[in-house]
Amino acid sequence: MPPSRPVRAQPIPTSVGIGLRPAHVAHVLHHRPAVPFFELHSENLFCAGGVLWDAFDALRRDYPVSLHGVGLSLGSAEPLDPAHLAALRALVQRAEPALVSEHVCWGAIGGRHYNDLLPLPYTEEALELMVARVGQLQETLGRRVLVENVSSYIHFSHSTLSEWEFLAALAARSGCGLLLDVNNVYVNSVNHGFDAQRFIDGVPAAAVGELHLAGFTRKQGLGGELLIDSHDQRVDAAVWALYGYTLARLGAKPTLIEWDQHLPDFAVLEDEARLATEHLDVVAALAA
Amino acid sequence: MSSPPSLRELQHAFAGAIVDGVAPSLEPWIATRGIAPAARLRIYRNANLAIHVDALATSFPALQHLLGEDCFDGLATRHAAFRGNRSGNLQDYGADFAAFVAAQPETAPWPWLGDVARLEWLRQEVALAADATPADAAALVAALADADHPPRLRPCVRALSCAWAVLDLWRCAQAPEHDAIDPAVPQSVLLWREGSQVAMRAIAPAQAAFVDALRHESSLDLALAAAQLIEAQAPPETLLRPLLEHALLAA
Repeated sequence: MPPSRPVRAQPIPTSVGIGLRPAHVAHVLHHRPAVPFFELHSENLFCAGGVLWDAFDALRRDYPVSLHGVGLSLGSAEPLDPAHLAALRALVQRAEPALVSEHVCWGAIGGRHYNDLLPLPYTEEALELMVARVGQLQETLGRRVLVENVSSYIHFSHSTLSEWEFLAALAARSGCGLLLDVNNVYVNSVNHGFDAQRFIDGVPAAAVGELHLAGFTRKQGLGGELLIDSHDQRVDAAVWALYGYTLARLGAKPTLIEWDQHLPDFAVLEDEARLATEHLDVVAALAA
Repeated sequence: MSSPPSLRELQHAFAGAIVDGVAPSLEPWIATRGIAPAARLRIYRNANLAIHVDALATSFPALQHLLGEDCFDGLATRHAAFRGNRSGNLQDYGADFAAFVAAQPETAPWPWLGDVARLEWLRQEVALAADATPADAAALVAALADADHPPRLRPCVRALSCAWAVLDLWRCAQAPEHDAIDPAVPQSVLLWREGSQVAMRAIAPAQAAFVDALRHESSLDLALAAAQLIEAQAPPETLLRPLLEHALLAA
């Protein structure tokens, strides 16, 4: 595993945090809600200063903070963008977040960035590349990172590994941790026709450092059932059930509520966090 | 069936589906499960356009107001499809949108729209710029007397000179009741950050040239010369006044 360096930031507690988006920053700074931790998108802090940095500096005095990247394109067949990697390194050095995470996906090719989390084929070639890229990232940052499974609407038929086998091998070979998005597991299980519990069973519990929860939408009119990872509504009942199964299988893990489109009042996110906390409390009670 | 695509081939084909809407070489390698591969790829194509149109709408709200939502969306969609983003950071997307807007046939009747877009991009630069402590009086006196170490602007300072009433047009987009403006009045604008807000005010063209030269690390003499190309007798104290009034020189 690459060397890690001490991080002065407050550690992420095993409780339920909220993904903080710019539209809620003023509310959070004014009301200082009792949220155990916040997660921000790394790229929102790639700028040198301004209101988001002011907010971040104020936030991290009172809350543990994690950084979640959406634009590095770890799985691109072309080399990582050195400017993006340097910006992330500078950010991590300046911000000293408790956790740093990225995605198991690609988003750029031919010098053009699509700013989306595009799916990989689960092949040995892609795995080898991801292992090398995660190694490069951890080496550059001087710390272990978590990588997140993404939702997808395409499954490549020449894949030779299941998605969970791919994740488990990536964690084992690169030494990275996993950020397991339970909603994405459920979305993919419907979209690609596998048993979501089998996915959870195939994930190495010790590697999982964080869980994500979000809402999806059902896309109609395509001739088959398809779920879109829209992050624009409450967590679905089926995903709550899978979250309960995940906690029972993996143990209690820091969990994050994400909401990115059609942002509701912050109170709605707090309510989702309360529901997730109830699940975590059940696991804690059973463990005790 | 031929052999499966390499990762690089797959990603180039996928990108083709996002940009052009077709990926014949990729479709045989996409599992259908009742949904055609082309329909699955279209989800990514549509998402890509939506992500980039939304990003432009966030960065150019005044332009969107002046153009109307439909016309703006049309331009933004075309830009997203044909230009795209060269960065993994969406904050970088839109740097060339002003030039793109100015060159489109549907904006020809309103030649000032490109300048409104330039102003909005500068507002974004100002909002995201690094922070710096303003210079105090003693540091200012020393810097103004030292030809080798001219005063530096705070990183959040920008200036823009236009052939159109760009500041009035921007304000009109914020408060449409102020619609009795003459767009054909040249205007120069000073932009900076005040607290968490982007501040703007009209300045003289010579002052804008002076600020722009300082921003590009010219010496005080060269910045003065740049200003005096526009206004031959521009006195230094007049050129410096807006910078001193708003504490825009860095320590």
